[in-house]
Amino acid sequence: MDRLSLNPTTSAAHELNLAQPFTGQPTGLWLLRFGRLSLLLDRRAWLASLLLLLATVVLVGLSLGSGTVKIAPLDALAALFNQGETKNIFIVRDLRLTRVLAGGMAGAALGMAGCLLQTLSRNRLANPDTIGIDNAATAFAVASVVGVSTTLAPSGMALIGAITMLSLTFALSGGAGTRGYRFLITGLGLGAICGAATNLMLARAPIDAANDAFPWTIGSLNDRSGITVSLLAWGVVILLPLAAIVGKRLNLVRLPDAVAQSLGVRVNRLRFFTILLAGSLTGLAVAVAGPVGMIGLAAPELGRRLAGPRTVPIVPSALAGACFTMLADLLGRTLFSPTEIPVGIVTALVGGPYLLWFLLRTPRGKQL
Amino acid sequence: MATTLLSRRMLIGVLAAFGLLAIVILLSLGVGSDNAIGLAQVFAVLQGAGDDQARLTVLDLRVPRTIIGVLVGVALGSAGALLQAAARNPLAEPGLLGVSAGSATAVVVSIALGASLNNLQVGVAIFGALIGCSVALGVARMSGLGDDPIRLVLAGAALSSMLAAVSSVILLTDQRTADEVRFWTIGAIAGRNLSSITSAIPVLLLGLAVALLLARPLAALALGEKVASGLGQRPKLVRTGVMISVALLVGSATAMAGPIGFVGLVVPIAARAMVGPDIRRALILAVLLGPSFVLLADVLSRIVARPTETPLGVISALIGAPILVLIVRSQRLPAL
Amino acid sequence: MTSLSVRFRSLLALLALVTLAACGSTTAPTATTAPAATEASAATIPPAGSEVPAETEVPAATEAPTAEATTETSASGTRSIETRYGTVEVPATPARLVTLDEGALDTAVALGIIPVGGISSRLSEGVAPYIADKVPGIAIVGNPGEINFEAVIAATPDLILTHNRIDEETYKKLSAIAPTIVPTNGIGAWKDAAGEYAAALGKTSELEAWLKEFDAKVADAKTKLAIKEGTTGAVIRWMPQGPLVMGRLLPAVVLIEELGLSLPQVAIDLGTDAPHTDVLSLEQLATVDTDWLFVATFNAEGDGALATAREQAAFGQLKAEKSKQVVAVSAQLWSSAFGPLAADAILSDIVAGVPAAQ
Repeated sequence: MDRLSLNPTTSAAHELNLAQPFTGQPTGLWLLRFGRLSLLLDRRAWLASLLLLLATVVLVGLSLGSGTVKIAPLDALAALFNQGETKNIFIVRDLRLTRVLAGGMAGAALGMAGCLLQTLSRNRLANPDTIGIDNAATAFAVASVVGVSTTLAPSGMALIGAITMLSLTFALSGGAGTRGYRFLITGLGLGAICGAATNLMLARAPIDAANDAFPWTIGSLNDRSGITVSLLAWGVVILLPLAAIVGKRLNLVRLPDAVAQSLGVRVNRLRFFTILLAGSLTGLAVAVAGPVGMIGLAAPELGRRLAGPRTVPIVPSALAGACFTMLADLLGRTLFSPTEIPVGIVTALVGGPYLLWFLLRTPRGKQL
Repeated sequence: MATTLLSRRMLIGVLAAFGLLAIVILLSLGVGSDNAIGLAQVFAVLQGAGDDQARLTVLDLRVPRTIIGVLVGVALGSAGALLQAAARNPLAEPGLLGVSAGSATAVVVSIALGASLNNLQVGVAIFGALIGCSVALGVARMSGLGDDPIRLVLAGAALSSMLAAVSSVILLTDQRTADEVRFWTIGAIAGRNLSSITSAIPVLLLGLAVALLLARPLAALALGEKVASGLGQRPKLVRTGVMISVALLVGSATAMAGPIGFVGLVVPIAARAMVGPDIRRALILAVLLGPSFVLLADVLSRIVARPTETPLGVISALIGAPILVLIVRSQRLPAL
Repeated sequence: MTSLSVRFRSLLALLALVTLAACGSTTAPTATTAPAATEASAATIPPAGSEVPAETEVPAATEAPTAEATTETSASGTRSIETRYGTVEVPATPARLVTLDEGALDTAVALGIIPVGGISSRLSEGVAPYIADKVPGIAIVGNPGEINFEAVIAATPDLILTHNRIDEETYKKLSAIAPTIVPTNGIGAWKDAAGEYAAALGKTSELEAWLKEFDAKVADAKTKLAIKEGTTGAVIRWMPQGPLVMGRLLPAVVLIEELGLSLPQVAIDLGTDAPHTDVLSLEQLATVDTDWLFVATFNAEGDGALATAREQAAFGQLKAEKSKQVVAVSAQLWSSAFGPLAADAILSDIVAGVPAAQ
């Protein structure tokens, strides 16, 4: 996990290495400097994606096949393709598939957002939970549930909240700042206000309304609105290639700004795009699932582990996020069936100890 | 040492802070949800006159909440000053670092286990604060702190959101707790009995005493660990001391008022702006400015939505968050 | 630039692969979910009647009771019930009822129908304590925040009763399972809501008889209590920061008013939209200083919350506390439950708490 550290010698060496291809040698010194490692690592990133994809497929299958109502695997498969009993088709396609889609896509979005933010800030702790967007989405969704006068559905309001927060944070932070820090902290501060507002609304609301709003304060995949789920799915499909491209460019921003600029990267514009992308992905995810925690922190970590340090693991992070979320939801709805545990609670319970370990272990790579 | 502390600037700072505190205390006694009772009635009551309604309002409601506001302000202000000095990070604030969240989660757990809001065990809140504090400073002690103040804040944010989720788990499964706690998680100093907080006061004083003892070693530590060691300080011991002191202070404040954010951020910054970065001076001023901030926020909380009160935690977030944004926008942080 | 483009190419390849694969596993379903949803609702929205012939060909073991229940009555059929989302055909005599609202559960039990499934009360793992012993075998299929649709399906209902806050999308999902009644009324007009549930259950006359009897009981209690004109009373919850006053939306408040207590102005100002005020400032105590105070608490015994309230000086200043006219009642029953049985229980609480003919 030894990352490119920023001490002068290595960056100078790196500068040299990157400068080499310009002299006309194809990939010569790349191979020399990182040796076969570089080739291996690329293959590793590939394999990582394939492995995670396999896991995703398995999890999709498991999620479609299990639930309070027992459906035999073959029947479930048939139902997926619209064959067999109407009841099974309804359960598999309308209930479980929507849910799997919501969870997988929200997880993928959060995983990518986390990966982008962490790479940008060169900090493993940066993640979509801390930039305030989910607090805003929660506040707006709760307002929609609790408020008598609002007619908009909570998920629509959550999306509006996320967008509002994203633009507000941009406006107030006056740009991303080096490593996006300004943006992160501004988001944190505004998120605190939204959090306070949510608490205030919950305290003011009649308890029945507070109960209705509860799934929005923790993150849940039960009974998600179909329109927002498809919006999220399309969003992920469209934004994933963009994120991959931006992630690739971000690899260069690890170099000193001057070097990156000399390589043709417009650093500030790239930062802006990165944050816009991460913010949009987070917004779409929380509009569907609510503030599901830990995914944006843990998924990129697994992605990096598997894909190795050479690439910015956008795709592995997306897949890992999808896997984590689907797995958490699967556990939540099957462990204590028929009682369902919202996905956000599962991720918090599983992610909590992980986070503690993560925070307190001896740091290996200081920065990304 | 004493002579260097008593500069002209310090003297002016202390006098100004005292003046502000006096004004704010008067406001806290004279302004409330009940418009009819102003300062004139307050003085009458304090001299033993006044009707029943006024006596109740002043003696049983406003005096206790003012005293609690002062105590909470002292605790959070000094805890913030200590943490910022120890972490050498202007963003180190008990709320942002997850210390308050730790404390709050412990309280939620204890309520779920059968305690009631009005007889909260201070020990529980302190225990939670200690956990939050040790994680926060454990992260801070890890390398890379000096060049990256944000790391600590991000760690705190992650820790806070995790702890909040743990609370949510309990609140989901235990509706009685949910109902009691939803009125508490925003933090308020209204409606507390003086008797119910007496157990918190010794803890607070102990924490404050430790804090004052630590001021000098912390000032030495500001010169760098090696210099501090050369001056005969033991950095590890000092950090442990800070941890315990912050835990005692934040824990007692949380037990009294629930989680109130941003006090520990805003107050030390104001203190340093007035008397300079030396922790010995800043700490003294933070002790004086903390209560002013809390009481001012509390007075606002009483009047913005009469006849109901807006929870203090909301007001302090509304005041504190913009200041946080301003700090980030100013170029003071090395990495910003 | 070569190195860049090489790296770029490898990334593109990877991307292409993953997007392709993603298309295989996830995008394809995306494309099909929209039609699936409409298909399913189209296929299932015409409920019971049209479903019966299709289903009877291959009746699943679990569906047997449903099919039986419907076939028995399908000849002369189903009844049409007006709901918030239009007219719904329900079986003439529902055999397997699932209630997704505490008021619906209460009404059904009062009318002699024991639901096979219900949601947990907001205070306990199972249904509310006041009704729990009447529905021993009930399956819990959700909580007030979320419905577990698969658990609803597993209960094989032939009729679902919900509350009026269900949105249309959720309604569609539910009505794909069984005919679903979303009433137009809620707790604020509980007698009307109970009427809607009773109509769906085919027990309108039974409910009317019950309500008549209940009105007689109230009248009887009113004469017995003989509360003097102008005596005031309020239902509150006590928070450390101050009281929270219940309004006329809640059946309990309406009932104490019917029995002759006048409400404080803050409660009247609430109208019938909000169940209670925000937490009032302790400095505004005069506004709730009534002769009788019903303190709703969440503890089973009610003593804990009241004891802590009594530690506060402000509570001791209240008229009702001084004259020992404070009655601790269950917040669950008094501020959220509704239905015939709840009303009955609240009435007994009042009769037990307020001595007759003072």
